[in-house]
Amino acid sequence: MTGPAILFDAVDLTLGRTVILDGVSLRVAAGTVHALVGPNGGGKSSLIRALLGQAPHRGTIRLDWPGDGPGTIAYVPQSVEFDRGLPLTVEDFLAVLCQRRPAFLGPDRRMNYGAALDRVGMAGKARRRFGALSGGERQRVLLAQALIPAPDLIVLDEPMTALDEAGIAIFETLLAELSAAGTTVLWVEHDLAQVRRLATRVTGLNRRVLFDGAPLEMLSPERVFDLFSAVPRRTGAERIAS
Amino acid sequence: MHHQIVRRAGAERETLWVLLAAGAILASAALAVGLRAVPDADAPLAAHLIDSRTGLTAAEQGLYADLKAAGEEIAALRTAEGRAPTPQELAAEALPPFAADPSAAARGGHAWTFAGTLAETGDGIAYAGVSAAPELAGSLVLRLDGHGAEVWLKRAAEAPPAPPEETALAAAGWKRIVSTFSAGVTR
Repeated sequence: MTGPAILFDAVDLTLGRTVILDGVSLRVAAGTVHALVGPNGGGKSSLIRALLGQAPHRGTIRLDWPGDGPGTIAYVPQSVEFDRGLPLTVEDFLAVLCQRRPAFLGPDRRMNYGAALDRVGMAGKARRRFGALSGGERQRVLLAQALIPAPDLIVLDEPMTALDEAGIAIFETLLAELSAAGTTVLWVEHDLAQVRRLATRVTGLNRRVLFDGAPLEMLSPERVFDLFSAVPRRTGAERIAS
Repeated sequence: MHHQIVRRAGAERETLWVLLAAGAILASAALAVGLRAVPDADAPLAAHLIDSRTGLTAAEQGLYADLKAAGEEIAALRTAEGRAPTPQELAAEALPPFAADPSAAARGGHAWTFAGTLAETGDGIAYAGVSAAPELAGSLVLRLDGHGAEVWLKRAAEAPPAPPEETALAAAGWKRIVSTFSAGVTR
């Protein structure tokens, strides 16, 4: 089963009086690596929260699954709020996130956490205390939890921020594997060079969609300047209205 | 192809379910109350009875309360002296309503007489008070037997039949004061 296509149609998100997303219409094709770029506060993470059903958005967000029913969605958060003193091993952490069986009954062997940890280069660290891991290692564990069970859609929220160089290489390999398996990847990223290299399509988002297309064409210097300028460009009609 | 619409985060559905549950509870409660409601079964009083709460004037209510208290006093005097006290003796003891005080005058100025003994209960006695102002309070008869005091009323300045037996009183248009307890009694 390949991944789903995602359709955002006129998605608005207003929290209090702050307009976070304003008429965002976007199509993520099935099985592509689709990158979302934009400045801080541009609504990238909010769009992902809306996709995950955690934001009071307006408009339509639709997932078109190729099969008869919805598949597996994996989510890798930007970071995880976590008490470093908690006596929780890496395996316990994965058990909390991935299995149906209560984690206090122990990790479910059938879930094969070892293989997932192996894929992110964390083999042999299943019994390490999660709080004792470095930031990069924790990010790798967050990637590992997204691989169990094998995802059809994976939503990545700046996964490379905390990764070290070795981690970045592992991430690139993973991305290639996922892409080859037909998984749809929605990827929020700061690092435009990586996006240019790895993404099949890129969308610039700053409250609204500023551009959408192939990375090599879209990530031109003017577009990037425009994207990261403090005030998002408005159309003429809106300028008159305000 | 399976289309999955991502629902917005919010408590609309939960709110709807809570409101539906509350509505169902209210509806079932209303239904239960409606089905179980019993109309007030206030049997009308017999023709020779009058209700002490609703049927009496203010003066009559005061006299009725005094007569009930006096009934116990008279019974005690009877036991102590071995004979029934006369209304004059009771007035001398300042026992209301027999005492001729301003309060008695304001409540109809009844002239109390000993109305004889009652054959029907054996050792019963009765006192009759003829009202001087029936519009304030009707004439009264206090009947005492072994069980307690019984008060009869007629809104006219006339003496009761002698002896004031129940049937005779009822036939002459007198009414016995009774206390009924219905849903309207709150204390």
